[in-house]
Amino acid sequence: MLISMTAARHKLAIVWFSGAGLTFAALLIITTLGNNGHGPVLWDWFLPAVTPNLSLIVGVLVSDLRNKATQGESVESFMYHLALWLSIAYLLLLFITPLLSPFTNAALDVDLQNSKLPLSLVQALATTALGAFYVQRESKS
Amino acid sequence: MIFSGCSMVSAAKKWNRQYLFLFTLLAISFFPTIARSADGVAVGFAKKAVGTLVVVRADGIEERLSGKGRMPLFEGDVVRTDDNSVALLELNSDIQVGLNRSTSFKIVSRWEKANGITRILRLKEGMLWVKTSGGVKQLEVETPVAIAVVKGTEFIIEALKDGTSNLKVIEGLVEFGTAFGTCPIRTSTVSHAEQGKKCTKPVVADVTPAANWTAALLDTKASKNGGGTIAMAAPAPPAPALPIFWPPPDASTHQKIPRALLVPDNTHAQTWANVAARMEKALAKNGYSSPGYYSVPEGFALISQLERINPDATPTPPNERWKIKVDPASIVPFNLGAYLKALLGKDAGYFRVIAFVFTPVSIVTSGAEANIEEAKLWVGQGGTKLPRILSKQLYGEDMVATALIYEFEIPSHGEAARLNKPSEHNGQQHLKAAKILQALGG
Repeated sequence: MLISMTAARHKLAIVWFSGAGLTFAALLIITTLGNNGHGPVLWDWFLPAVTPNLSLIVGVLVSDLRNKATQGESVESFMYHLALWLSIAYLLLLFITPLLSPFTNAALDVDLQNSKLPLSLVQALATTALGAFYVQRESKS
Repeated sequence: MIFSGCSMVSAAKKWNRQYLFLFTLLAISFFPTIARSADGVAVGFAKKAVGTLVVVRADGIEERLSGKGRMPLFEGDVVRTDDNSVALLELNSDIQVGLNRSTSFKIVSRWEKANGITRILRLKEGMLWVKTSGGVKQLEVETPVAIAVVKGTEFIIEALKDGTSNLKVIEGLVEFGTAFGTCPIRTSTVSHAEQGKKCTKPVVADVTPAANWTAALLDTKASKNGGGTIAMAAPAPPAPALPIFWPPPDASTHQKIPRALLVPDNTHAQTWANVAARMEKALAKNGYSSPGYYSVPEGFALISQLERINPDATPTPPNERWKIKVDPASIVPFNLGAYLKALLGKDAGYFRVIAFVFTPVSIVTSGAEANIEEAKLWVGQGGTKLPRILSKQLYGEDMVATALIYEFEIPSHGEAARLNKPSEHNGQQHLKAAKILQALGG
């Protein structure tokens, strides 16, 4: 099954910016209204988790806008769907991790530290799927 | 025959020479004793040793005493006990000197035109108990870092292995000095001296237990019960004196407590025990129990247990007031409010310890920041009450009661505690919130 490359790329960008934006907003509320002094820890945890992929997506979008190379191009949907669902799963995990903290016995910074390993695993899968998706497109071009 | 007669004369001469030699040898052997006896300068006597007392004379000859006796002591003698021995000496009939275990000192003297002979005990190591009677004595005890000049008293002086010295005055007055100055140490006070420093300010303490080991020497009831063996003579474990809370660590805030609240009836002399009892009663009325007693210079301190307080300095409800831990905010029953409270870290905890210090000495804190982990233990490590000797002390006009308030904050569950310095509330607000001033009648 084929899918429009431009539409796929736009959907992935929307998913990533929405997910990262929602988590960003949640953390902003926690650091602004909270009195636990966890601000630096939260941002240290969040920024490395999203900035590499967001930079990649923005870079590709800007490149495509300049080159207009992908207009009307279609690609196999499997890699797109894999990248999309892994991204959604990853961003969902990123969003709920700090929000689940009240249900644990540990302090928020400890929860964030503990979440780093499983999140890195999912992040690696999502990033690999995104990369594979772009490689697929390039091979076809 | 002539030959044999000659040989007899020769044999007789030989015998005479042998006797002469033996006599000379004996005379030489006894010479020091004879000479000493002729001098008549015995400075005292060793009267009793439980175990063995060793006296090393100036000429290197060692003499020993076990049990009771009357061994003369001379200037220049080194007197020592081993790990299992204690001994009693008497100098000039009215100075008693006890040697605890592993103690060694040398007897020397100083002559001054104005004062005559001053006997000096040069303590190398160990512990001496000294008791004088009949007025001021010309006696000094030197340690490697300090000197104690006796003014008619009973005291214990100790030369520790780390080179420092302690002086505990049981009764009377002793001038304790180092190269950096002297301090008069009075009854029931303790001072410490170390190299390169002035002796410390005297701290009131129950010093009598320190002399427990002398019971075996002084034929007191305790020693009579025993059989005079070393095992029986072993010093009884001393009753612990109050630990010292001085200088106190930095506090969040402090507040003087008006004297009228502690001594409402000024017509009668009040003792430290009266004031402590009044303070304890006021604390008990507000839920505090078992304060810890500490010693401070010329006074005492009473420390309340660590309690959890509300942000407005009032105590939290009893079910969580004495809980030292900050639990995460409860999300049971679950609702949005509880959840947000837990998420946003509204589970901070405030804690407080109040140290009531009663002393005429100005309080200068140590500069060290108080630690909640140490503060937790203050009550447990303190005495449960004032020792008898301190409780009888008069609460003088110059005594000042100061409440040092230590406020700690644990910002969130799992976070480290920090001292709030300064506190958002002043000392009076803290004492009022704890209703302590009210309970005292303020």
